[in-house]
Amino acid sequence: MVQFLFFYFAIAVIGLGLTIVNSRNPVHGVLLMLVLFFHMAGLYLLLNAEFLAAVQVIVYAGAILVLYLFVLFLVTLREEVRISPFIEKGYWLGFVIAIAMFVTFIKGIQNFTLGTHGIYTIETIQQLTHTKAMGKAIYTTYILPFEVAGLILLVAVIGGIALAKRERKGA
Amino acid sequence: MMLLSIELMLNSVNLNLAAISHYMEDLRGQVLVFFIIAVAAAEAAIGLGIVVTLFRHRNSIHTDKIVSLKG
Repeated sequence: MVQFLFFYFAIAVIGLGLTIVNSRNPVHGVLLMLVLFFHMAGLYLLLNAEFLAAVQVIVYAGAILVLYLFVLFLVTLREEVRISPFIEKGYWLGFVIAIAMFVTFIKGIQNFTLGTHGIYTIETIQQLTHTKAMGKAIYTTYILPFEVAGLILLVAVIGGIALAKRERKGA
Repeated sequence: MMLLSIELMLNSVNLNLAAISHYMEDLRGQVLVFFIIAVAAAEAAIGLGIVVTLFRHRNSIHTDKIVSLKG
């Protein structure tokens, strides 16, 4: 059952990714991306990471995609503009480079030695819930990156306001 | 479409990190996923703010037409 779910989510993610990149209408692309994020949340659930699945749906699917849709409708793009490619017959060159990168990754994985196993085994995470385990990890060991992430969000808010201000005519 | 591809790539890295952290029985990868989601949200907000400002001044988002630095 778990195997079947994993294969469904994995194949759906790959197929949706390919469809999004090739879609003509950007609004179709964003809506397909919403479906893709729900499948990714399903994959996180299969990995015992409930907090990450919830954060993915709330933040990514609920906030970032809504932002994209707002901007798309503000800009009133009817259809994605098809321009002539920068390099002629560039499609096959890109394909060859992608296959070369894939082969490099596979060769790299074969020489991969794992580090030491950590302390958060699956049983520990299932006993205290994943949210509590993440809380323990973030607030004790990773408190500094947490504060830095807060600063990054503050900078993003200030940047957004500064970009959206209109110049006042006169004083 | 470029901005959507960036989100797709960030998601693929998230999945990789979450899977390997599950295999190593540690939580480091999943904590990093949490921070990557936060940074992706901030970067999407600023990127789209730039697109909106550009559209307001040039009335077109076809980047081939935006070739002059003069505001």
